[in-house]
Amino acid sequence: MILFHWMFDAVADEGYLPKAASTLASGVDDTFMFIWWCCVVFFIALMGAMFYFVVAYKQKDENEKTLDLKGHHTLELVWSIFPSFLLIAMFVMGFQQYVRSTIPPAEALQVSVIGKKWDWTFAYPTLGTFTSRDLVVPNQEPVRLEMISQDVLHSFFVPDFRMKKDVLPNRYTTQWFETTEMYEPQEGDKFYSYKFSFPDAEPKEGSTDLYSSAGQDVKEAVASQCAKEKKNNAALECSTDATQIKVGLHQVFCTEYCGDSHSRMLAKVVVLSPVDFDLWVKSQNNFDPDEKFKGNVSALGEYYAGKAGCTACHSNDGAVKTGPTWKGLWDADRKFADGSTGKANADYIRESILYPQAKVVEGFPAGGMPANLHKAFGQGKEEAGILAIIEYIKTLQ
Amino acid sequence: MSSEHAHHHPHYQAHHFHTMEQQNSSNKLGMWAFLVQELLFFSGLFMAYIATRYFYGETFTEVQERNLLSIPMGFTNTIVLLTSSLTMALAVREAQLIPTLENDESKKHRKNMMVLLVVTAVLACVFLVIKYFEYSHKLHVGTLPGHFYNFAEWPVYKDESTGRILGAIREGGIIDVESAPHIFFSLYFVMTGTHGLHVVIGVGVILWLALRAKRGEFNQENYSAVENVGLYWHLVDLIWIFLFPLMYLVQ
Amino acid sequence: MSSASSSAEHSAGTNYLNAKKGIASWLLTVDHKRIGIMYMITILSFFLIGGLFAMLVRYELLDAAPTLTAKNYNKAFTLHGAIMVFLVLVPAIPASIGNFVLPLMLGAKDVAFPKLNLLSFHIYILGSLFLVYTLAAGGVDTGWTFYTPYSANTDTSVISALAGAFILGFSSILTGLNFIATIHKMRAPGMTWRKLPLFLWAIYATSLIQILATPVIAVTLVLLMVERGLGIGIFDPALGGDPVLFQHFFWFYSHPVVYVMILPAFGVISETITINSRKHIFGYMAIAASSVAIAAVGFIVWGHHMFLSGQSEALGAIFSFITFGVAVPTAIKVCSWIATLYKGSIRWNTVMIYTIAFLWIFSIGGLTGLPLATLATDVHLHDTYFVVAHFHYTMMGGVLFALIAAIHHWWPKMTGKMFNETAGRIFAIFAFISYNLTFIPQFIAGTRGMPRRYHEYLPQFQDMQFLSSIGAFAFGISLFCVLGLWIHSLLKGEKAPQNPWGGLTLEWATATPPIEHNFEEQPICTSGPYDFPEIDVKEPMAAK
Repeated sequence: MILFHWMFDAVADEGYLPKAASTLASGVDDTFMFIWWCCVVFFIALMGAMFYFVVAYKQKDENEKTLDLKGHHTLELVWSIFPSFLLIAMFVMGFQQYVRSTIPPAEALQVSVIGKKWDWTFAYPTLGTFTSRDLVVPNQEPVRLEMISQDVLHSFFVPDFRMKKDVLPNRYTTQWFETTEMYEPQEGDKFYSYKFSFPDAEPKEGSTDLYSSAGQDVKEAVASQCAKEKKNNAALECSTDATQIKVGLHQVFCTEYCGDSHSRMLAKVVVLSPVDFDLWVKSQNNFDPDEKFKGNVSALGEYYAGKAGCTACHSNDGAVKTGPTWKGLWDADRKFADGSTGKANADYIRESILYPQAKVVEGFPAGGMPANLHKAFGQGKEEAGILAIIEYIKTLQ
Repeated sequence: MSSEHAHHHPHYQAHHFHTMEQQNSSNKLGMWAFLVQELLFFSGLFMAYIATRYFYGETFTEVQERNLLSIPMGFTNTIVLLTSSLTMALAVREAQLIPTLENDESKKHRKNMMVLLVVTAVLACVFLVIKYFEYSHKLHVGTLPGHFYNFAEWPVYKDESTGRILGAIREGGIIDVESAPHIFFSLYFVMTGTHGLHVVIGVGVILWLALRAKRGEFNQENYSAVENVGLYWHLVDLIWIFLFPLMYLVQ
Repeated sequence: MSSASSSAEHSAGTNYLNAKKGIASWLLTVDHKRIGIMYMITILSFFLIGGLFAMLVRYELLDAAPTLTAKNYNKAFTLHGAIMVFLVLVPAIPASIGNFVLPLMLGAKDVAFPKLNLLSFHIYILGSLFLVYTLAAGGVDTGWTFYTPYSANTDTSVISALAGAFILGFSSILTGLNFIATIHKMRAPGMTWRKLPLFLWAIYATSLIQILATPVIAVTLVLLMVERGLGIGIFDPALGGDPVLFQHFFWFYSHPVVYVMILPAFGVISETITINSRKHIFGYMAIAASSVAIAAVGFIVWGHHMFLSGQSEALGAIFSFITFGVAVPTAIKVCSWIATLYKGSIRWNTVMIYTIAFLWIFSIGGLTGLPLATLATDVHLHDTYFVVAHFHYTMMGGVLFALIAAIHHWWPKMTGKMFNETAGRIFAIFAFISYNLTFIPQFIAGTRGMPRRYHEYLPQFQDMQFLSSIGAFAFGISLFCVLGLWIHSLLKGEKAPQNPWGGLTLEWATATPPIEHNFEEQPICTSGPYDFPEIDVKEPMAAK
């Protein structure tokens, strides 16, 4: 019974449903609560009657006669027809809310969502050519997602928005949302950051927090852009201090089974005030990795590793993910699936990026690494990117 | 009803049935249930056909234009199967005429039935032989299912590194994603192949019936096996009657 | 229900169990009772294996951190699902209990096609060997739903699993076919359709679904096998195919199949609730007709698994509306069963506890289907642990508790022994409580947004998953206790009287255990199967 108590307390604290953060969520929640209360009433009525009868009519004598009641037309009609009205009501409520969710407003901001095993990339074709690993959106403005997969089925799910849709490889699927406010992350909220390993352990001593990057990259980008623009326009209302920038954070899950790292295919929605969002967009458009990481090729490599999705499968701290860890990789001896051996030097790393199937390390799946990841570095920058990755790997001893 | 043990059962009546009438009607019901199930199986394939035709309608008409399926052969096969259905029905009729007591009349009808069964099986084999010619021709020119497709006159683009087939290659190297002959021929082979498998099984069962007839089985009280195999055979024929126009005569 | 003499003519102690001896006499038997027993033993064995995979899954989910590798976890949940659905739940009640009871209840000597029945069993064994091979070959990791394109491309042993399921389908079809012919043609004289016991109505509806729906999954599995092997390009978009087409094909069978699983369970409950309340069923025609209605409507709701798949919204709305339609006959049944209890004479025995447990469990299962049928709420709940809990309540809880009730109920008839009632009651309550503890937290986790098929999860779901795992381990223990109860009964159980529960259906009118050909004389049906108050129960079998 203590266990049940614990469960009820947990529910009482956090409630059944996550916080409602989109304009559509309240409609969905109202429908849910209507159904929930109908179900509770019926369940109590049925189970109440059942337990009462079982107790009240417990057998006293094996030969006692029972009521000869083969049916009761009125009663049967009542319990067939009355619930039908409630069911129709449920259908209508559900249908109405659903239709609202399928028709995006004409002025919605278009964001492209690209899913692949096992990460998400977001692009903003109307705002620039940049891509992002977080879904950054302006608060209280409608956003329309055009989604496509590059391999198998995935599904894009944001519980706080009550929003979900499958992501297909052969055609685009669409969904939309508009946030209502910016929910700051609570103490203990955990969000996946694409830079780090999945939180499969407590954060290590001295390491940066594995869990909530709390939109750190986005905050820093906004702050630095604000600093640039304030030089020309002192009246601009923005904050140059990243710690002062308010963001809302919401978890994104992949919710259509897609293979090994399905549970790790996560992302964050980062909600910014519209002013901050404009600043962020400008910072992304101006973002030149060569400039930002000038003189620091290994940091450029770390940036590229995130951008191209390497971190979805290769950890930097020894954790074994779908692919071998990069920690200690440089110049190590390797044994391959076909029995041959080699050293993990620059040639090997370059070959693995360009021709992933050429040398598969023993114990790892053949065909696990997709081809053409280097295209993410940008046209004309493929070789530079590969060199940067190599430098980054060298730092991970 | 009195005790079962005193009841006289003809040797072809199973122990758990009371009368031949019960046995025969049970057998027939069982066979109809089986045929309904077979129909559902083929409907699944026809659904796949409809879906493929919806996505790649042009491919179907192009197959016609290029004459890649032999209409004369298909038509001949249709006539062959229809005739075999006729001989099968006549065989059932002969079985119904066999009196229960052995005499000249029973021997005559039983012999007719055997002959008709064998003729049915032979016609079915003719069907299979013609199918063999069709299949081997396709093997020769390369109009094969999916990955094995390599018909030179209507090539498809295969990306070697990923294995993706994007569509047919048109003049100028343009890839036509609406054109998917490799999928059409997949459908062709899976549907005609499944049908062909049912024909092969039918041949075996019909010959087994003929063998049982040779041993003196079947009479007008006990011919449900022949009748039910006949029903099966008519279904096989019926499926071909749908398959032929859908595959061969698409406009 | 009527008349038959007892087994006076045969030597005392000769029954179907000891009439012929030796392994061959079992493996080559055409006796439906022996076939039913063999099915039961095999199905329970596979239930154990599927359950071990479930324990592996729950062990992994005890905490947020991974214990197994991702690939192994994915194989564990796939094999758990595939074994449970194809090898256990589909044949569970029809093939084991159905085979044993159906001819007896009809007053027949056997099913219409006894040899076909044996063939069904061997086809089942053959199909299961393919799945065993799949286990040996390293398992399969596609999820039991085999969605493309993942299933068309993964390097695990998919084709052998598909082949196994394909072969198992034929076992299901042939059993259904057999039961349809038997019910139509071999009823005892006087047993009109209106006097047919409800268990048989349920089996009849189930058999209709089996022969109509199973061929479609057969075709789907064949197409997927050929897709993998030859790359035909029907389901894999990389080759020009459509993955949503696969989903349509798959769910066209896989939704009706859940009714194949649950309808026989409903049938069992109709029997056990009447016998143990010694009261006529409330609403006989409603329950009979609703079984057939559920079977029929169950064929046109498959799209409710695909609301978010990218199919058109209009289609989604149609499927949603019709899905609510299938709730009505189900609700009618539950209300009718509860009404049956009113002013009955209710035994508090093991079978009744499982029956009451079923009503609780299935009510939760059915009611939690409503937010899933509703479009807007399904957007939030689809593919989360809410769905997992919903289908475990309906499919697993419903079918399993009814199966255990059925085994306990017909145990004396099958074995000639009684089991220990006190222990039976205790284990039933233990199973019921631990079962709820396993799955209620999953509803909560799912509503909060935890997706399914997750190997690792974010720490906020930890408490619910921990509770669920504890419940699962306890539930597993309770099932082992029940198994122990049965083994104890076989070894040391009291000899059973011919009709320990005072039933009026024909299986209770013959020897316990039955003789090989079931009845000494053809029984005749004169009264209904639930005419309790009208008959002096002390002497139900007046010879006529």
